[in-house]
Amino acid sequence: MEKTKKKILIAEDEPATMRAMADSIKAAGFEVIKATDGEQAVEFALRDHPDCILMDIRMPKMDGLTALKRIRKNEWGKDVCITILTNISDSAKVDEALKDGAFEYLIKADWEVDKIVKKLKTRLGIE
Amino acid sequence: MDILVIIISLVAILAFGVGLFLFIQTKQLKKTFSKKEQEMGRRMYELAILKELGDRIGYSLNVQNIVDIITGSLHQFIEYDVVSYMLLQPEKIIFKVQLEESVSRKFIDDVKNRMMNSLSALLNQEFKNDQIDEVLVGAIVVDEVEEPVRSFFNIPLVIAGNVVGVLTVADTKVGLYKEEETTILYKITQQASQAVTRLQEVIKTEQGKLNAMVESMTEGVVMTDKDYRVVVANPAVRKTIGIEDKKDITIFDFIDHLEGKFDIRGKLEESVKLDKMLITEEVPLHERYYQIFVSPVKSSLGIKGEEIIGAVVIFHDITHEKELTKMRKNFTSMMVHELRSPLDGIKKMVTVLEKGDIVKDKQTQKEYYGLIHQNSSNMLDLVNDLLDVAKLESGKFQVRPVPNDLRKLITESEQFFQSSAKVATIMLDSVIDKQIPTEIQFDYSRIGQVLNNLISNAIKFTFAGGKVTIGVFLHKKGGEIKKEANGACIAWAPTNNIAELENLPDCIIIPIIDTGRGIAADKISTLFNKFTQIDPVLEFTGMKGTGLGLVIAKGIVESHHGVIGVFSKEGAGSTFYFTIPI
Repeated sequence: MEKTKKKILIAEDEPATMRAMADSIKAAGFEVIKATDGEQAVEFALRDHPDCILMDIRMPKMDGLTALKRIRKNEWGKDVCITILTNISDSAKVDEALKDGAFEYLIKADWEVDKIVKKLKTRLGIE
Repeated sequence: MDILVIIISLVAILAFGVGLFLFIQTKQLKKTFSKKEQEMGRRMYELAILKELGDRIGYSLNVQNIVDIITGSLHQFIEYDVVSYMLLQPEKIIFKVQLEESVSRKFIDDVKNRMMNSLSALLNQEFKNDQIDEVLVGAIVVDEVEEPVRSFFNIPLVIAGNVVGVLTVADTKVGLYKEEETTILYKITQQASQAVTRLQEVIKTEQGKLNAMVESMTEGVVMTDKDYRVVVANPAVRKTIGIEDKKDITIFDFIDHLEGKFDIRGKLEESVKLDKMLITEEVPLHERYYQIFVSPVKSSLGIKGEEIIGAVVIFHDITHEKELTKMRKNFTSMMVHELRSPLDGIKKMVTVLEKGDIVKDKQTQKEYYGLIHQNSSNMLDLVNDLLDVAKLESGKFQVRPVPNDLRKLITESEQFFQSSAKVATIMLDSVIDKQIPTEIQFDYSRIGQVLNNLISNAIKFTFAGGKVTIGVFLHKKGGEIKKEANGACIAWAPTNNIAELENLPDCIIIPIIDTGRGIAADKISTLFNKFTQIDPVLEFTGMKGTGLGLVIAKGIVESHHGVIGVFSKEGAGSTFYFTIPI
C-alpha cells in the first residue's frame, strides 16, 4: 500500500529561494505546492489542505501575516502547522505572528534547506 | 569554486554600497537637526529682548533718571539756590528738590505752589497736596534763612507730546533768569525730551516688529511671568493647544488642553529653578508631534543685574520630520530586504547544487544557473542605482557631456526594446526631427540610462495592443512647442506649464508617449521622489524594477541642465519628457 506523501505548501515570492526549497523538500519525499504571494497562499491552503505551511512574511499583494490570520479564521486552518520564514529585522512582525498562531519561526538566512527539511520531518512524525 | 568567488565579491560590493548609502543619509540628518537647534537658540534670545523692551515703555525709571541727570549738571550753566522737578506718575506726583544753598521751608512751599499752579494750568487739572511725594536732597532746610523767592523759572517737561511734569530753578537773588539762562534751560530740556521721545518710539517700533514676528512665528510661543501668568501667547500656540477663540488665556487653559501629555507647569518651574533650557522630544498632541523647548527669560537691565523675569515655552512641530524619518527608515529596510532576499536565494541554490544529489539533470542545472544569474544581475543593478542616488544626494554625481550622435542613441535604444515590445504586443517606434544637429553635447551612457528607464516604464504600463512613441524635436526659446512637435510629425502638445516650457532656452525635447493607463494627478508629484517609488511598480506588474529609475533619470537630466517631467491623465496615457540643452 502506497503511503500518500505529506503535502507542504510553500509561500515565497523570491524565485531562487522557492526553487531551492521546493526541490529539496520534494527530494525528501514530500509533495510541494507553490504559492508566490499571500493571496495564492490562502487560496491554495484552503483548496489543497496541506499538512504544513512554510510562509514568507514579505510578499506582494498580501503579506504573510495577513495570510496567516485568514487561514486561522478558517475551520480547517485553525490548527494546521504554520511556520513563518523571515529575516532578523522583522522581530516585531515575528512576535505578532506567534501571537496570531504561527507555530514557530525560522530565520531564512540562518536555516539551511536541510534543516528545514529535518524540522518538517520531525513535525510531521516522519523519519 | 567560481560560484563562491562570485558570492564573496557580491557580498563585498553590497556591504560597501549599502554602508556608503546609509552613512550619507545619517550625516544629512545630523546637519538638519543641529541647524534647528541653532534657530531655536536665536528665537529664545529675540524673545528675551521682546520682554525686556515691553517693560520700558511709558512712565519708568528712565524719565526720572534723565531728569535727575539734567538737574545734576545744571549748576554748571545756571546759578540757583534750588532746582526742583515735579513728575506725574499714575498714582502720585514726585516732587524732588535739590538744594544748592540752604533755604527756608517757606521758600520750598512757595516753589511747590508755583509748580502746582503751573502744572494745573498746563494740564487743566487740579492737584492736591496729598498727591505729592516730596523728596529733598542737598543742603538742609534752615528756617532762619528768611529770604523769599525772588527769581523763578519754570519749564514744562514734555515727552511724545504729553506734559509729564515741570522743571524749576529758584533763587533768593533777584533778576537771575534772563534770556541767556532761560534759553539754556529750554535747550537742555528740549534735547532731553526729544531724546526720550525718540527712544520710546524706537522701542515701540521694535516691539511692534518683534510682536509681529512672534505673532507670525509658525512655532507656538507662550511666555509667562514669574507668577505663571501668561504674558504672550501667539496664534500658532493657540492653534496647537486648541484654544483659538479664547480671549484671556491662563496657564490652566494650557494644563487642561495638554491632557497630561506634557507637564507645562512642572517644566516651567524646573527650567527657572535650574536656570537652563529643557528640551522634551516628541510630545504627541492632537495627532501631531512636537518638540517642546522651555527656557527661563532673563533681564540684564534690572537693578540687581541679571534676573529671571519669566519663562518661555516653544512648541516646535516635528510631525513632518517624523514622517520623513519614518519614510527613510522604511526605505532603508525595504532596500535591505530587496538585496538580502535574492542573495539568500543564491546561497540556497548553491547549497543545493553543491550537494549534488538533488539537481541531477542538465536542464535543471541550467535553470538553477539562470536563476542565480538573474538574482545577481538584479542585485548589481540595485546597488548601482543606490550608489547613483547617494551620489546625487551628496552632490557628487557627475555626467560627462561630450559631442555625441543623439540619433544613433535613440535608434539603438528603440532596437533594444523592440523584442520586449513585441512580447507585450505593443507597437514601438521613434520619430526624429530632421532638423536636429548631428552632434550634440551629452553623456552617451547616462542619457541612454534615462531612455532605457522611460521606455521600459512606458512598455510596462501600456496594455497589450497599445503604442509607445519616442519623439525627438528641436525647440527654440519662445517657440510654440505644439507647432515644433507637429512640424517634426510628432503628435504631441504639453497640457500645462506651457509658458515655462516655451521659455526654455534652445534645446532638444524628447517626449516618450504611451497609450497606457495614465497616472492619477495626486501620484504625479511623488513620482520623482525616491521614498514613494517602490510599491506602485511592484503592485502593477509584479515585476521588480529597482524603483529608483525616475529619481536617477531626473538627476541625470538636471546634471545636463535639462528638465524632466510628465503629462498624464488617468485612463488616457502618459508622456514623460526630458530636454537636452544645445
